[in-house]
Amino acid sequence: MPLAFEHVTYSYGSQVDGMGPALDDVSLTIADGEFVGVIGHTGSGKSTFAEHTNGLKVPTSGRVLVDGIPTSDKKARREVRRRVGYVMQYPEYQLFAETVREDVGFGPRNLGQSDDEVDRSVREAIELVGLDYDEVADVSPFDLSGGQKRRVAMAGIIAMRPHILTVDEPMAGLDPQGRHEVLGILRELHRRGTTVIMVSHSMDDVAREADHVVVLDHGRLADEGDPRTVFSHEERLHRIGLDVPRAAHVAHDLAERGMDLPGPCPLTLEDLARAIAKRLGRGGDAR
Amino acid sequence: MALIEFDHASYSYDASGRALDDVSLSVERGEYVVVLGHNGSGKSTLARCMNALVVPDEGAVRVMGLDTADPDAQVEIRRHVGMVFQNPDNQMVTSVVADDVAFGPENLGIPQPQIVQRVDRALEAVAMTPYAQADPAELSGGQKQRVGIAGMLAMEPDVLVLDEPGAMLDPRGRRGVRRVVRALNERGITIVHITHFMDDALEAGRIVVMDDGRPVLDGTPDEVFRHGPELRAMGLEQPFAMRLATRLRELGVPEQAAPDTPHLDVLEEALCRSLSNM
Repeated sequence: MPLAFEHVTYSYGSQVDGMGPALDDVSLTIADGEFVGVIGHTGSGKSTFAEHTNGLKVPTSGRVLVDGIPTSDKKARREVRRRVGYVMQYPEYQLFAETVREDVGFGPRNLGQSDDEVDRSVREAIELVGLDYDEVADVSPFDLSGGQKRRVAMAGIIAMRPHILTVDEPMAGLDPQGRHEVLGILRELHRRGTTVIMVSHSMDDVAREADHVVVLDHGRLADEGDPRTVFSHEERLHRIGLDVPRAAHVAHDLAERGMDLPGPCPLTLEDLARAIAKRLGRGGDAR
Repeated sequence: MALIEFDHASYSYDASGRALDDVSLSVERGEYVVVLGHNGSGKSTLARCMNALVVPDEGAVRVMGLDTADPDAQVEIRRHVGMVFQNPDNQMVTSVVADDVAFGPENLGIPQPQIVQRVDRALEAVAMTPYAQADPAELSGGQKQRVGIAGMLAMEPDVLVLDEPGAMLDPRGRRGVRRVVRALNERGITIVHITHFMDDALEAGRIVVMDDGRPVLDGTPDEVFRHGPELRAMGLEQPFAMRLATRLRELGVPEQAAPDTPHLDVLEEALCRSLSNM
């Protein structure tokens, strides 16, 4: 079930002088089962891109196709939302119901799932986000910790069983433990076959998790490809205000200090550690 | 006299437990303090006590000797202690960025030409000069955050308390804020920075780690980050350099080549030295 952007341009109603469209002629295809990392500095159009994946915003010109269905087709909008779940930034601000069960069940109920189905979806989603159903189902979402609220809000979208899940900065504001938990949820969904589209500021997370990286700059598609290719374009990234993952940065520093590492440029801490160990003759290949 | 002094301060939001539990610590003039802790550890409450937004139930918090519980002192305390919050939307008051940044100094009765200067400087410091005439509502979350910080910078406080200001910024934005904060500290402004980012923490001269409403670790980055297991148990992580060094030692690299340091340049130097000794 591919997701296709065809020459997508989006302009906000009232443009600030000197600012171009939020998306500017973006064309790309996201294949089934991919883990896509969307990167770009503040104001690059990442969030607008995310909002286009499920028709929350529709292009000013061009088309977004979900399995061939244009998101601009008003009659198909419900179908698009069923297929593509979208978790906005700080989704916990959208929690509203009196209990976690009701909050998580709102989406699936709206999609017309039967009561039994809703119960099943809710239980499954709550457990998938790492919460104990019996413990939290009847609790007010507002009595939970920040990290738990975030996970309940995600469960509300996951309960609709989307084929594609778009998450905008899902780790923002969370502590390291919370970040690990949210990344774990996305990894598990991806393992089960869901296409994951993650907007992120963290090059380290994108390098580790994604198999397809989309780079936006001033609303334009600045680069696209697998992490190794995209992060090898260091100068291009720097020009648009982005960084390479920390591991690549350290490898670069080491080379400047006279320690060239064997093999391709490492993108993760683990790859970096193995390359250094090997260079120091410590057989970094052995586990 | 300490600039900020917590004297056995405790605070509870409700009956469920203490957000601050018998905290005694002081911040001296000119310090750059980073406060770490997982969500719910009490670090935001600690920050809010510093400008009398929260007044302790027991014990006292004093700013330049002024008791934050004294209603007559609160206006003066807030003039000395500027707060930058996590969510800048709550701090936006006007429909033009430059006016928003000018709002604070105008309220302080600063003469107009000086205000213009301060606003220009503050916007430049957060790389938002091109947006001076933009409507804050049109900005992204990260851009709004930078305007929020500029608003505080324009007040030129003695102490800047930043409560996770970088949570929504991209790496460049965060580096920019870090540079600004460091420059302000070098000019003598005391910094208290609440953060989850280890890169931010390494800038500090001192790190306070909060857990269960108490400061549990307090020292230089080198001292605090050595407590790897304790940090992990509290849901925190060590800086990249220390995690890398740990993994290298697991892979058989000797400690001399991969020392336990939070600073990447120190680790890189040790690694290269060991290579040339091979």
